Amino acid sequence: MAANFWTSSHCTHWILDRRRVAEAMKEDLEYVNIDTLTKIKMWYYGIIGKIGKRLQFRQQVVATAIVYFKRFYTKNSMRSTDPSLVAATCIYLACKIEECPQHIKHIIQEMKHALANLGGFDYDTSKVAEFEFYLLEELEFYLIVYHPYRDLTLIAKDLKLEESNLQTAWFVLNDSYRTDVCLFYAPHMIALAALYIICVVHAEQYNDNNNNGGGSGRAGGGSQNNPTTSSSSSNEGQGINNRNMVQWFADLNVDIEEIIEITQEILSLYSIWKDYEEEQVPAMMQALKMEFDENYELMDPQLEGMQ
Amino acid sequence: MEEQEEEEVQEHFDLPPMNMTEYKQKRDSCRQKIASKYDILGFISSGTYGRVYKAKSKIKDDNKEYAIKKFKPDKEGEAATYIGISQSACREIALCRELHHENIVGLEEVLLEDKSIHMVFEYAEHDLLQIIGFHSHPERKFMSEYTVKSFLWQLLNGVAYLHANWVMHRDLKPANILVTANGVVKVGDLGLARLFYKPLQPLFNGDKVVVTIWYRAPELLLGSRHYTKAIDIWAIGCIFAELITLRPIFKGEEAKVENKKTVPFQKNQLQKIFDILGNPTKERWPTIDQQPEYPNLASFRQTPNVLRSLYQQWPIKSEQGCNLLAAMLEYDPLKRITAEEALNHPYFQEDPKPGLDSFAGQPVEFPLRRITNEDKDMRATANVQKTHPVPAVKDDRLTKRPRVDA
Ligand SMILES: Nc1ncnc2c1ncn2[C@@H]1O[C@H](COP(=O)(O)OP(=O)(O)OP(=O)(O)O)[C@@H](O)[C@H]1O
Ligand SMILES: [Mg+2]
Repeated sequence: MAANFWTSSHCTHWILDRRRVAEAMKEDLEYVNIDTLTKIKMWYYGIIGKIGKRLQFRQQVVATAIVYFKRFYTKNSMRSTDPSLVAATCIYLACKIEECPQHIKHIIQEMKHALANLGGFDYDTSKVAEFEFYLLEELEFYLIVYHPYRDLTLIAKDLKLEESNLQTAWFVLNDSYRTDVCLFYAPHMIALAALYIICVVHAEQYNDNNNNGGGSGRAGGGSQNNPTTSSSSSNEGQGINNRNMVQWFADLNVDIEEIIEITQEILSLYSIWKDYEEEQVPAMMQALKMEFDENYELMDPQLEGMQ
Repeated sequence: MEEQEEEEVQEHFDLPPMNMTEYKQKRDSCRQKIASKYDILGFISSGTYGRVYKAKSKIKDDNKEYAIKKFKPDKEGEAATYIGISQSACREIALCRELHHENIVGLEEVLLEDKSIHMVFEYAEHDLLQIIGFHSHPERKFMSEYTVKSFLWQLLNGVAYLHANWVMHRDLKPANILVTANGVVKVGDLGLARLFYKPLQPLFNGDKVVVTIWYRAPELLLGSRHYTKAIDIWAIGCIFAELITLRPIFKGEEAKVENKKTVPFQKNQLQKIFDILGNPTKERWPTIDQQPEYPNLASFRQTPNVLRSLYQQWPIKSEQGCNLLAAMLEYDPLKRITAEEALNHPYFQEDPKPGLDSFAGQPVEFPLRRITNEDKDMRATANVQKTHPVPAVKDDRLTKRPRVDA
């Protein structure tokens, strides 16, 4: 297990089929479009990240909590559950599994703080603890999650990657948790994709940018939710010999197609991120949680059936 | 749609109150009752974290028996409100769900009922505490070398698997080493086990005391914060000696925790170790002076290492056996033999060679694990005092548990 990803529950049970994930989103997509749903989820990942920062968790704890959150929502709709309760419980459980247990009250306090302008957080200790049972069940009691950070560090060592590039790749990995790649791909593939992004894609962008003089991506504007990479890409590409890296990837005994898929998924996150405004989230949530009777007529026959 | 949202941003938002009743009802209704899947045959034991029952599957083709460990509902005070699942239960579930090995007790499934976690394990008829207890009857004999060697080899095999997977057990002792009716060792009770490959977190973090005192490695007794999988090997060395002699090799008395901030210095336990292995020196353990409790060592009297002469008086005569024991009871954790190395030790090449059925060819018939009829509906929740109906011999080990959980 811990030594061997291939026999882990992560590999054997939690590398998912895209259809299953699409199925779970169906209900939500009746109320909001896919970009909006993605943004709402991003907002919750952001909340988990913020709380992690405030409580000074290691990145891995945040990552595990986010994976739990995602796994939960491969079986449930956002609409029929309360993502803030799910998020709080994921953090609580992840802390225990990652061996940095936090008092449940701490997490509740932080949730209240983080959700102050979005409906607050109305759950007490016993409610979160009760929900922990449901979460465990949804996770099928498979709690150990593999992350690409270790793989990245190992590969970086092997490649003698410069510290600054490693740092940037690390940030790409952080960003990757805003996408669903961790549900579909093995961690070492995600680590390779992060390297691919900084070594190949960004290196190319660097050359392009130099030619047309423009910066790439969204400029880092203070918010911790910003993609760390796009802002730094323009100078990070420098140290890497693009051609060598292309060759290095070609020589790897892995499915390069898959790395490119992951790369694309992460890059498409950055484009959604570009027009993501945190202030829009409450309205998006309201749309998602719209009462039945406010909805189209389509729902009516069903409603009558329920009464 | 975008525009509409923009306008609404200025307003005060009240989301429709979220209640998860519907979600919960949906989940609750498809959850299978334990009673619909298992027949509870009886109550086995109540331990630190809960109560263990013997069960049989209701499925016709499944003739296997199971042990269901029901964790105490985590409650605060008398009111049964949820306060979250204990760190220990979390660890045990997380690790058992990943580990699959012949010599590690298998987790069949986890069930939720009655506000409690139930872990369904494969059933093991015996454990080393019970077996040692059985042999300790005055009219009975020592275990055969074949049986001891088979237990030891299988125990090492299970622990080597744990270590290869970066899992430290941290509470190896006879009671936690289960043995099936077919003589197969199953390492159990992973409630204290944890992964040690994550380099960023100090292992010391949180739980101050690990390993029942008689099996606790010298580096732990000296307050080391950087302990390693070598602590499991020390415990196995102690168990090896105990399998041979039927008595704990270092039977110290635990210094009680006086206040929660300081961990007491375990002078008595260290003395028991020094009495047999001699005082640890810088030659034997070059970094000993870096141990937090090192200054305390000055107060011990000087004693020689008598392990070999003691071993001569024991019923197993193999010199290689003594070498292996000494290698597991090495003071310096860096010099201590690893589980993998121990499996390849010459002792196991010698006759009698270890076997998969530790009981093979043995005349002894061990009594079955005793179960009682109390609480067959798994309802008991009050903090019943610990009852271990198993060993017939009185053994104060059962009440000694220095576990302090995070
Ligand atoms: N798989 C099993 N088959 C048979 N009996 C078992 C099994 N697992 C546990 N038991 C019995 O239940 C006892 C307690 O189990 P375990 O050690 O897992 O729990 P614990 O709460 O840590 O208890 P303790 O405080 O006694 O260590 C064991 O010592 C053993 O007698
Ligand atoms: Mg036990």
